Amino acid sequence: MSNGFENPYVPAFAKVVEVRNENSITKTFTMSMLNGEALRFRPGQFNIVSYFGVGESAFSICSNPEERNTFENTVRRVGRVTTALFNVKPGDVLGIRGPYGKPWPLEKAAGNDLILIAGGMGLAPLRPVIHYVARHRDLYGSVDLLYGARTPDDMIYTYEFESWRNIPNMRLYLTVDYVPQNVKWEHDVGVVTELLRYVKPRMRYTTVFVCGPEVMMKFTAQLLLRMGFYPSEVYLSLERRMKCGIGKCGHCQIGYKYVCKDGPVFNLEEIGLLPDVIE
Amino acid sequence: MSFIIKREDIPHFSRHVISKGYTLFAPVKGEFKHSFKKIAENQVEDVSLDFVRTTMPPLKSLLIPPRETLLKIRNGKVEETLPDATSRTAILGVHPCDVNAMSLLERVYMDRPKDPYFEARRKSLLVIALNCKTADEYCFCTSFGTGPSLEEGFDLLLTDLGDRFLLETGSRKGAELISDFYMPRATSTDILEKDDTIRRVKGMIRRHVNTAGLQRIMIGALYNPIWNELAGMCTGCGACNMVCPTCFCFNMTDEPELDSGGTVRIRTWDGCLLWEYAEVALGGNFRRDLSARIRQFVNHKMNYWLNQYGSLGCVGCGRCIEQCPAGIDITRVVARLRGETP
Repeated sequence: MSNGFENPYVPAFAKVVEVRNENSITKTFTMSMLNGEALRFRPGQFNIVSYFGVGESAFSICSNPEERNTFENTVRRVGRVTTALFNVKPGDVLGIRGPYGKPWPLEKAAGNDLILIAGGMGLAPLRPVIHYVARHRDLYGSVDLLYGARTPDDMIYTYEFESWRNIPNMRLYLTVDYVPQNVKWEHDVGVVTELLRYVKPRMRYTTVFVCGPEVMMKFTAQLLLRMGFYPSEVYLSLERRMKCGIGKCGHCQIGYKYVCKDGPVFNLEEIGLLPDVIE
Repeated sequence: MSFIIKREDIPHFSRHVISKGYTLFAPVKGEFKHSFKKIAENQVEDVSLDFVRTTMPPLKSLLIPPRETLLKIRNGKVEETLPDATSRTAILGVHPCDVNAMSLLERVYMDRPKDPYFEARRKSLLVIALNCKTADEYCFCTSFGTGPSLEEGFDLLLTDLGDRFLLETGSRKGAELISDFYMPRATSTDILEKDDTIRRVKGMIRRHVNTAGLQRIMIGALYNPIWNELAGMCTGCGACNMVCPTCFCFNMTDEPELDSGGTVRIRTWDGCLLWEYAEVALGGNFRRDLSARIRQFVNHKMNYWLNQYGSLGCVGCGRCIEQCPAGIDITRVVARLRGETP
């Protein structure tokens, strides 16, 4: 009974076609919509995945935006829904709502250099950016990806790093908080902000995208501002509790902004005066 | 068009509304307070329009039930459990603050994409409002222009003139309802008496929020020590959220449907004063401190609403003050932030 209203709470169904282990607590699910339609999204947008009977959770869409047949969500096992999702196998069906939210400003940044700074799972919403840049390499100047994680094992998408390094005029800098014994690591050790010393940004011709834990984004943003970036040149992708994804349930509010529809991508100018954000 | 309905004819009028196919909700006097109840045809004598404010159950329940099934999912199919938009519900005796609160809820739920559950309920709702004939120490509607009288947002509007009510129509739906209910036309004396009543009630309202330039003051007070001070009093019970007629937040959860093995997706009220409200995985919480949660409540009403929906989010009904177990008073909070001694 639909009464002629469009119901934004109704999920569509997607079949899981592949499950990749990123590490012991993180998996990437490749899915395709059961109705055969493409999930058209822009880098930085998210969707809401249902495991029926357990509930819904919001995830960044982390795949190549120009791949029409499938899309991907990377899931870290941290709560009820993600634990349920961990048991999902190829062939299983999940519910999908979205895509939702404001994407990274890739059009606005065209012509500029890009600095992408990610912490841990924060690489997920930036992966579509990297794929997009690879396909449209002439639209952007140099691209530097600065990626930090707790340990080498906590890094995700490591199997793609080699191909990312091969993208012309793109560099990849990696760091971890610590290296467990017997683990080989030939990159940096320390916080991700320290990787900024490798980058010589062309000021006013560079746009920065940041995603990671709140505290990592706080220190990164502070350093970027001290380096001389304008607040309008630094974009963050924020995470909040989210239920509806369409600006009704109230949970994701930061000041007067709804992370679900005004974000999740904000520049520092937009969120500078708001409370409850990276304090 | 304005009419006169005699006080003793209110039950007759209630019966008329029911006879038109409406499910009628109206205030009934309880042991201590009035509350809105579903009125059956043989209960029309219980309808009582002599009250300042009803609190439980909150009237917003008629638009967003405290617990509602959104979807049933079974065997790879989603069934939408939408309310029947062709059903008719009438609420008799809604005070101006609550009518205005419904309009504010509309801004949230009818903003695109529309919430079809809210929309169906709102469309099937007929509002017979009631201008206030008295006020108590908690009322402060005059600060927001949301009372004690109403200019719009109603289908029919009553004003208590003692031995009789003035009845005004505000919509075609309202006019249709009374087209075959005989009442004498109101005279200019009746209209002027209404004005006197409203003026008298305005004079009774002692509590105020000074809204002039309020948003700038609220933004400037985001790091004021008052939030910590209030956290020392607040119990985080969320009563203010539940009784507030403009609080609209909800949670969505899945429950197994036992008979079919399917899933029911439920939504339930939620409130920003509750600890779990801004909680995320691994125990993260963006408003772990009570001070941050109180600040969110007060700022949402007195500051953020303006950016989000074009007006402040408070209608001055006084319920959050009346119900707070810690005696927190939003009007005093604002007065203190303004440097005014109330």
